[in-house]
Amino acid sequence: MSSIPSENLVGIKTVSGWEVTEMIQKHPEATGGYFSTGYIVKKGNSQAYLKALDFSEAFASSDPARRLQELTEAYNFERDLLKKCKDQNLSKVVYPIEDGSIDIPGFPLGINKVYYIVFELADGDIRKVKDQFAKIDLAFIFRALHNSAVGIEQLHKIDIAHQDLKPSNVLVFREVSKISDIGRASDKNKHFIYDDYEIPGDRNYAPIEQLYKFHFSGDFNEKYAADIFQFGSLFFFFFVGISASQAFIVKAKALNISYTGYFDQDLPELERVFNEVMIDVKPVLKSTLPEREAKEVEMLIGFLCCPDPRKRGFKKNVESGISQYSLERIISRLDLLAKKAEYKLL
Amino acid sequence: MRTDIEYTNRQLIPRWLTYNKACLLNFRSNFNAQPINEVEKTNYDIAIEEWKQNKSISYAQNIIASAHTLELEQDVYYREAIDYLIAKDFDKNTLFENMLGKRDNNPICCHEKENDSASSMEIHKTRKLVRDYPNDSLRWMDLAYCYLVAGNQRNAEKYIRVALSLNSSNAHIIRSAARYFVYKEDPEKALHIIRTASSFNSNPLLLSSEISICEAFDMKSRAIKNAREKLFDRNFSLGQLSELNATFATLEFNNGSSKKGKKFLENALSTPNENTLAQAQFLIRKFDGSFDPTRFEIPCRYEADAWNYYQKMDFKDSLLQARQWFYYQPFSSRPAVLYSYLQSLIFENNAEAIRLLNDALRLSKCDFSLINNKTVALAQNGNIKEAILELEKLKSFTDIDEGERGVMLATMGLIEYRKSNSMLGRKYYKEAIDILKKLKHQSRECIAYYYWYREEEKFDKVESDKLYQITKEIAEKYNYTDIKYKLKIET
Repeated sequence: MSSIPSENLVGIKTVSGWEVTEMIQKHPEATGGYFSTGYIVKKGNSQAYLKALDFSEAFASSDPARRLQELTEAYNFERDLLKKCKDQNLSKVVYPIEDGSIDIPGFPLGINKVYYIVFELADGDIRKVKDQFAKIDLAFIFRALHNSAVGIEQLHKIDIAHQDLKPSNVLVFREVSKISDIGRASDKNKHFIYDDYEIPGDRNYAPIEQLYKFHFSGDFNEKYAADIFQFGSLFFFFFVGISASQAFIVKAKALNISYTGYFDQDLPELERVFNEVMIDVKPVLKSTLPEREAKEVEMLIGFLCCPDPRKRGFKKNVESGISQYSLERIISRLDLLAKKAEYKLL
Repeated sequence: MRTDIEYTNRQLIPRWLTYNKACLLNFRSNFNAQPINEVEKTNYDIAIEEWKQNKSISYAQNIIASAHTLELEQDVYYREAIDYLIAKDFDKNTLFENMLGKRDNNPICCHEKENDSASSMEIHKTRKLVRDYPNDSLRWMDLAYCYLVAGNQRNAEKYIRVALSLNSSNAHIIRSAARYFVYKEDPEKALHIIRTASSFNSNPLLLSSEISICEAFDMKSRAIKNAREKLFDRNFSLGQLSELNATFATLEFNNGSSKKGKKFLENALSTPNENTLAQAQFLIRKFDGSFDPTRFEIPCRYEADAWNYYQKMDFKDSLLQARQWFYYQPFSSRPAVLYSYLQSLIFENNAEAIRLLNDALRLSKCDFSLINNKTVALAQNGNIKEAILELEKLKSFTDIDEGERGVMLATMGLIEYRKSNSMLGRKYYKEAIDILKKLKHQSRECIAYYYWYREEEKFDKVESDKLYQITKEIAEKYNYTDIKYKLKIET
């Protein structure tokens, strides 16, 4: 028996009848402001994924009451966001089947309560699926990219910015990919503590301006700009194997650019680094895609991962009265690319 | 013949290099160097767990890239993931090669642009890059550099303006532009570019450049107070403050406070670049004593090394370094002056001196010292007609000072001797020496005597012996090692 209540759920049934059968994630995962443990749950012939939240660390902190309040707030915030997604029936975002709490026997009152959220069980994240293919599968890649773009756009339409989009947060359900884990997301209409974090998500995937703590507008557009950078990073993941930020940092170090810590001062050098990254990406795309599609993807990456968030996105959108950070324009392009790949036309 | 072989007022004027070369000279980039936080550590641990469970390329790449981002390259799983990819014969792309490769700064060589075709190729290459990346202000600045090296000042200035219009807060762009206007002897414009930059008050490199340009042109700096505060700003590393520390060292030494100057110099030398090293070499040589730049493992130490070897009477190495220094900083006449002086005086290889002087004069057309050295080299090489043509250029200078007039008279004396007109030659040398003596320019006086003695040898042995004795006395008194070397006096 583990000393952490959230690690003792195997064999327990939720109120609605989900039976916890197997722990799939031994080590707690940092998500949102708290740690969680993952399980497989079963109900009849159905299987699902249960995320059990660990609030016990609050009791080991110097101010348990405050820490517990923080953890509860983080949980409630994520739960409310997920509910918002569920209510809007977002097709490309993973939202819960149910949530609730379970009392774990053998722990003192207060500590024994474990909050959980049950999600549809995925085949894995895009990393796992990608590695199952002996050679690069363009149909899977473009469909996953298309689905992710739809997911991000759906979130943006209901005023949510994901802020932590990365390969491990894009789950695959048979033919469909969906965006998961909105533990670090921001709601335009409800301020939360993560909104003030300079890097709310994973630094490995953070847009360049966040590494500089640079704010170009001070409004929610900054978060949309960050999301589309992270979406562009998925292209890097599929074709290059690393994230856009990682590619950027590696190249900046290889070129040995000077670093003042001031975004605007360093911008020409950051743009040079990005150009150099793209020079390296170009042959990779050319070796994987036909020339026309390689150019198109290169252009899309250029729009999505532009180091200057003010130039990022699609300026043409603005002429049509929509945000430059809207992915609408490329969703149909990605759908077409996915279809071409599915029909083996690439 | 040299005019002012020793600097009298060296300042830390910013270097202008192509961007890639400038990057190679940077201190090791501390880009995004932030300590890992608790959540990042947990995420990295998860990545390791995932890697242990899924030994595949994606997970290996994830470990390697994360370790790089989070500066965890010492981690055992990082090595394991690299070994895995190598064993899998993973088809690496350039980005990954960057990641797996060494990050050490490789010392760079400054390849000479020996002829016009090399510089026009460079222009062609850079123009193409500018066409591909028209918003890249750094490439526009590189293009301006290429044009200036090719001697096309008009285009150079045009492209500097383009670069500045695209970005006027980046230190590389501003300092390069300022260096151009210093070269053009327009310090007001150079200072205007620096002072109006939005980053002026926050960037120690710009503050240091402003002070140095003011000091070089005897103008009043507006940055000293703010710059002094920056020296104690913990947001900057000693490397970032190296030039500023050396600038303050220069101010203190020049104001007679060598104790304070030494303190600043010590800080500057904790992480120097080649420019601060050359400044330290200059200051220590001028005010204190000996300095060995070779103990600093930094690239492109040409200037500091050239003077170091010169001082040690290792003229061969000094010559080599001066040549490298010239092709590294072709807008500066100083290296060409030193190189041609050594070639003419020490090695008596006037043809080589003329060759490099021609390259230097393409960029510094109206430099008195360069033209004078070329005149001397031509005369000594037997090209009297050409020497006379160059002499006419010297004579056409309207704003030369008395010291330069003395130098020119000595050169005129040399030409007259070479024309077998010893009477007039003597007259000019005498006039030259009178002026230089009056001005207490002992080093120039000593050189004038040396050349006079050499010329007189062919006409009047008794007179030349007298001149030899005088030259020897001055060289010994003031320890002019180069003349002592030529006179074969023990040092």
